[in-house]
Amino acid sequence: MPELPNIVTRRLAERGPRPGTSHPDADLLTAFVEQTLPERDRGAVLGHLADCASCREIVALSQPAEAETGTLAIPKPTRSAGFSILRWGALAACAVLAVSVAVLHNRQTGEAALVAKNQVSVAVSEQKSVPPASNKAVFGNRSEGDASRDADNRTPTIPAAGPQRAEEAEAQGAIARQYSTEPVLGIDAKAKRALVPAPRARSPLNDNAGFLGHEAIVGANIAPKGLDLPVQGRSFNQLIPLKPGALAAGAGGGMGSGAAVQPPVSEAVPDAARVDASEVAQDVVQDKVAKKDEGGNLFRKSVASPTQTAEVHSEGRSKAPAVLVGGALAAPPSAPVGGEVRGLVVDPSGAVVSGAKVTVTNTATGVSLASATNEAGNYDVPSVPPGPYTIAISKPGFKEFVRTGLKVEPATVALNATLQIGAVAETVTVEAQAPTVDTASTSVSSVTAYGANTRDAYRASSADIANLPNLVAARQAGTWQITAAGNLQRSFDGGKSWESVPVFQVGVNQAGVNPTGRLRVVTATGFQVWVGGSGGALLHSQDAGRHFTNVRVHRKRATLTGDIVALAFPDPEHGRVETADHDVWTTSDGGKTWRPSASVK
Amino acid sequence: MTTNATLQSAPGLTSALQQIRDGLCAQSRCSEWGIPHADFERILLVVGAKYLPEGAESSEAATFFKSLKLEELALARGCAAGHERAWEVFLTRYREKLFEMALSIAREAATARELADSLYADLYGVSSRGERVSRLASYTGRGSLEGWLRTVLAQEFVNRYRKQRRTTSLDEEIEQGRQFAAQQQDPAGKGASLETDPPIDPRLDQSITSVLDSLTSEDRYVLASYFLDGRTLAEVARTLGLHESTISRRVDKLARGLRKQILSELGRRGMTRRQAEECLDTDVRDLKVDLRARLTQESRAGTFSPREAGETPK
Repeated sequence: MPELPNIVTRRLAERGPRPGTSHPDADLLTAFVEQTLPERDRGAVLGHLADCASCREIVALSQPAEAETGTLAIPKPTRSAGFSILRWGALAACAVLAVSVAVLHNRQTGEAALVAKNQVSVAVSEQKSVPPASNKAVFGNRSEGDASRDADNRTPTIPAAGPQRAEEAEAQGAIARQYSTEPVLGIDAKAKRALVPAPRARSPLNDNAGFLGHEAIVGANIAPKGLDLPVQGRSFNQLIPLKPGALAAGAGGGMGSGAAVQPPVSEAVPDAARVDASEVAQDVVQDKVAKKDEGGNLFRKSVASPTQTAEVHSEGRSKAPAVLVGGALAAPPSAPVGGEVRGLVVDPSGAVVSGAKVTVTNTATGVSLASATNEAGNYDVPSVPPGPYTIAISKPGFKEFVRTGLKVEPATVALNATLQIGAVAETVTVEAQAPTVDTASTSVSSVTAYGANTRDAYRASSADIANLPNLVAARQAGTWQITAAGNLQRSFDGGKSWESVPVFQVGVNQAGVNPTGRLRVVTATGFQVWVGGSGGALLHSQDAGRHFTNVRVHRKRATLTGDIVALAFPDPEHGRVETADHDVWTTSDGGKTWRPSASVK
Repeated sequence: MTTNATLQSAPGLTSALQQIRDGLCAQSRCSEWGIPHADFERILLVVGAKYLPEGAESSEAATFFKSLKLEELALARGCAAGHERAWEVFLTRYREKLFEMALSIAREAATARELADSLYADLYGVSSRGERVSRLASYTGRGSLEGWLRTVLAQEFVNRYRKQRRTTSLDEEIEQGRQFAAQQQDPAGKGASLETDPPIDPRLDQSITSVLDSLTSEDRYVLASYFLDGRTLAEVARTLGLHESTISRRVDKLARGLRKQILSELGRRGMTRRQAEECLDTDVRDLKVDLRARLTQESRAGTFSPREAGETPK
């Protein structure tokens, strides 16, 4: 980078804002930083910035942190090769399947199935998404069961190359039959049309049932829309396999047996599907990462079982090819699948609520599933077994949102919720009602109290409050208020009844404070209670009001003598006292020493 | 008073506002924060009068009003007026962020807390006359409320930081071999010595000034941020919403172009190419100041000690 000549740099530095011009206000600078200024205003602001070092500094400092502005927050997969492996894996799988179809034309079913299975499992292992053996076994059993049931019902004879391949042959046979019977069960009209032209598909007696299944689909050239139904059914179908349609059961079951089903799935999407496949592969990778970001249950599930991951993805997709290929790529689904409940949680102002606890409880079985909203306020409870549910969304500081009678079916239930802000005093412990203090002071006391249960008044989120043991303490300590007459009162039942707390007898007189002084403001954090009053009276109780001691706010010769109108003690150590004259004193050692801050005017 | 004056001075503003006021008020949800529509309308008028030029057309005014962050404006004004629910919502949204923003600006927890606390007091607003004046009342909705809070924190921080820096900046500048300090100190005492300085060729000064003046403000901003403030290319790029490589190219081009233009200006003012280059590259004052600084110190020492030395023997 070339340097500027010294003299030029100096001249540049010497330029100041033109005399008589004022600095742009915070609003303009904000709009400049956010790049929402119209050109005219922007030019004026830029002109000032070019010559004003301090405004440039303000602009530089008010840039939001990187993470906030990064629109593409999805980190890249840790394995940089992940995407290409998936993509090539998908292509390889397609190629292999195409070959296997050709082979199937000429060979026995069993042999073909073996070839396909071997090749597909190679492809699958390339994708590093091999399902856990146990899942596969379970699933395999299921599909065998389906297959054999079907076999019993309709086609007693299943040609097989050898006894060791009977299972695959059975599964394939089952699929073919299910595809062929599916129009009867009322599939989407398009799919029906698509299936009808394949004459052999409807012949359950054909000796190459598995092959026929493929042929039926290939020949039929099903439109993606036509596939929507079976696919959606597949995702959620395993608990109640017969309800949404036998085709779906077959497709799902077939996937479990790997080779047997993947040919129909892949062939069902014509050549163009390769593009879809790679797109979806990408989607899947991104989804995976996204799920990781969300952490929690989803993440653990993904790690525990790749098949489950795949399933979550498939459920999340509405595009049929996406679901299909996603499923095909990431290996067979295994665990029981149900519906999915998800939605967005916002507060009354429309801002998203993150970290809200979402509990979905099956009212029939009492089993509940928990989740939480992510930073974007979205929650997602996957794999919810069908049934009647109650959903409860809660976050400290908000009223609990409860929706009963939620019926979960094998589909996604979207439920957006708006949390109402709960009364601050419900969870926290302060009220100040001195008539001399304006209403705003009241709210600031509550405000103080809002964070009063947290170690850090600013950082701690409301969610932390619930985790802090001192909330319990706060509940035991009750709710405090100052009456209009300046008396301290306490309530243990959320404000229904109040009892007077005799501070003056107990503490103040002992401490020698003028008993005629009137109390004005109280703040409580757990057992720590601070009461401020007129004439600089500050009382402190460390045992929830049983004993009060007088605290003299002073430093060297200066003593706080004004009426205390605002108190802030976010933790036992740090505190801030403000008088009616706007003197502010702070302490960082629980009131032992005090430091006057500049008056707030 | 202000409002009436506004109404009279900006008929375009008023008419624009009247056409879209219902939509604006609905969008702002001002009634939720206890602001009647009429009051909010008045607020908008004041904001419009502040930023729009006099005689702005009503279409321009309408665009302006629509570009405001109405909901946040209403919330801020609700808070400023002491509306309790507005405060609740404000705190829910910004309480945690306030400290985080302060921390990202101050990069140190204690300062950040102080910064956030003092801003909080300002936002809450207190006044001795019994009438509360909240800093939120000055928010006009041109940028997001969060961004505004961040900017206000930054302003506050810069104000304090600059106060501290003034005490150290002389050392820094002397370390860098610059002569601002000497130059500023001297005029008070020794006006004459300044005149005896070897003067910079006035043609060089004129050339530099005219070339700098000819730059667009954005270019000057880029130059100042990069060369004076020491911002990185990425930082400069971010403030302007451009790509880093664009800024990199621009800085490169600007620095080269600047040199070329100054040389040609010098040429136009009658210097030969070689003279001009020498003039631009040799910074006479740097040499001079170093010398002078040294001389001053030596002469002080010289005048002081001989006297002492001379007096003591006597």
